[in-house]
Amino acid sequence: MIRIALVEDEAEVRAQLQGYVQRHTRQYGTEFAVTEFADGMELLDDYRPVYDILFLDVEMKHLDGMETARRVRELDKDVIIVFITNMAQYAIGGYAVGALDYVLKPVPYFAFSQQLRKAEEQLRRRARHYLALPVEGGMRRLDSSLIYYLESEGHRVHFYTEEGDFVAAGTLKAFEEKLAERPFARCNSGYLVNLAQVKSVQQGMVQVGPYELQVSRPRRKAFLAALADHIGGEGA
Amino acid sequence: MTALPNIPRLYTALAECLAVGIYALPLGIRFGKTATIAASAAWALALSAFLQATGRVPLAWWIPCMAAAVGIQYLYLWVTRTISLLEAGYVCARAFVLAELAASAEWQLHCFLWPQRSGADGLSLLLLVVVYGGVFGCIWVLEHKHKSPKGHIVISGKAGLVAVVMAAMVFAVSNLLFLGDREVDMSVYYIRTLVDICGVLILTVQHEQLREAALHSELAAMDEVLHRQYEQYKRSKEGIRLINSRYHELKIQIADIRAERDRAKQDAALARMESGIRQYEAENKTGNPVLDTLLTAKSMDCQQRGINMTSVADGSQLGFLSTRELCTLVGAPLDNAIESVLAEPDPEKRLLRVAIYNQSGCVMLRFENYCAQPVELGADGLPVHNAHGGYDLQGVRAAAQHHDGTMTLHWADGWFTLRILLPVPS
Repeated sequence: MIRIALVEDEAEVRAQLQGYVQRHTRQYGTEFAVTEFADGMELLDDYRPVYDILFLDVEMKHLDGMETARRVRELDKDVIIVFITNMAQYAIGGYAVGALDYVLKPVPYFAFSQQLRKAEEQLRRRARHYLALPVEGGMRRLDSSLIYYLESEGHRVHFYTEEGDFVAAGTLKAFEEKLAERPFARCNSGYLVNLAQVKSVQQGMVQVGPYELQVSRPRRKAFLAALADHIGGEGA
Repeated sequence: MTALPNIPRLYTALAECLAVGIYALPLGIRFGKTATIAASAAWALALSAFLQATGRVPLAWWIPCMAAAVGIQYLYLWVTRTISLLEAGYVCARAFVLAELAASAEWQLHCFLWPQRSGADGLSLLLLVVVYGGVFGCIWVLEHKHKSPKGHIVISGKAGLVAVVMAAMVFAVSNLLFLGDREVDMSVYYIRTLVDICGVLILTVQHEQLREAALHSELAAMDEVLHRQYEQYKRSKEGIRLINSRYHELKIQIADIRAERDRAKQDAALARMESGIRQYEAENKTGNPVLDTLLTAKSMDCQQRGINMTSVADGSQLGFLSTRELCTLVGAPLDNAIESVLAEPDPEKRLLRVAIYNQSGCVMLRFENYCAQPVELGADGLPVHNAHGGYDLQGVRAAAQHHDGTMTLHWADGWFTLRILLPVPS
């Protein structure tokens, strides 16, 4: 179940988009729970980060969409924001609030439905993923998004994470396979890097969290391509 | 002086196989990897067996046998590699002359050192390895030092003819000496090796010229792409300046409408103005004037063609790119996307999304367009068939790589996505 907040001051448009959501459910089978709001103030009143997707009208009387988005972002950095507007230039500054797309009024079903699909894909990618690691004295459960990088040490692998460093039994190749669906790539033969933790790439070096790692020449091309696809896959 | 033995047939076979292998390796294969390796092994064995079996035929049969051996090479090249009959002829001729040279030089040295030793002797085999290694090693380095552009050189009919005639001449001149009645002595070997060297030299020089010509035309095509985008940008800039002066006129019109007393006339004037304004809605303010111009121009273009283009762009970090580079990096992917969505018959499905944003110390430029048909990507990661013949996206990739960045292309779920990642210089 994906939770949508629909913030739009025109009742007609709200009804139309509700209809679109139902049509999308019939077409693709995804279930949605839609909560309607007639204004940004109404949404922000006692806002809790329970929504997955926020459709926000840019032109509203009391609190416009851009300002609403700004305030929502302070409380909720994960919700996917999609603007609805009848003037494109009001939404193009959306990157400031992490809203990388908008739909133009009058909203056609196809464009809206494709937005929903992109958002669904985004949510799927964000789902948490845990690794069960054989460490000294037992098993350890680790959220893979907290990893900075993995370093190969023969038949053991050194983990550098936000929760500290430790060593687990296994080969780098085996862990690479377990993390195949996650944004991980090798920057050289010995390091497997969490691309979500990359801070910068500069002249053969990559900054991963607090660590600076070498990018080897043979791996460079594939590593950059993986990074491009990861960064380019962010933001619906 | 005793008659000198001629080259053992297996030596010749080995030279032919190596020569064909060296020239055939960079060519695209027609079937899978395993199939090609198997076919190559089978072909090498067949050629060796054929040459060995026909080693002792009478002189009259000798030339047809050599022709048949060349024919086997030719067929092998054409069947296993993705080349035309003409190209196969060209490669075959080059390989043949090279093989002649290697075999001739090796045997000349052999006869000079130990005329009485057989070819199967240990020392002879060592000499074989050294000389073939030297000759083919040199050619290998020469061939692979500079990769040919896109791995494919266009062979004109003339170049093919030159190569084939050259090979025939070299073969004739170097072997005519054997046909006479006189004893075969060292001078015959000298002449043969020299003629073969000339043949290899001429064909290598010719190939080098073809390679440079291909490189040149590729560069010219890329330059043309850059130039086109830049010209478009200059035109749009002028157009947008005109629009801004229109804004000024509109302000004056508004003042006139205010002054108008008649309600009906006022409404009509307003409606006219509203429809006039709609086309200027596409203005962008991204923090980069070049990007503003490009996106405005292209979104107007999209409006005219019934394409629903949405763009969210932060151009504040793009200052490190030159105008030309930005024109290429944004203009060419947009043109490509526009071309692609126009193929979509349902106007509601003509969706084009642009997002430019900063993350992880990099700028991401993402262009997505709805495209129901799967897009097939070639080995170089570019579309096999695209509207612009590939040069546009190749230019985009070159521009991205120039800034240590990268470009990736994907097709999934009815969307074609082009992503450019550029590290922002610190």
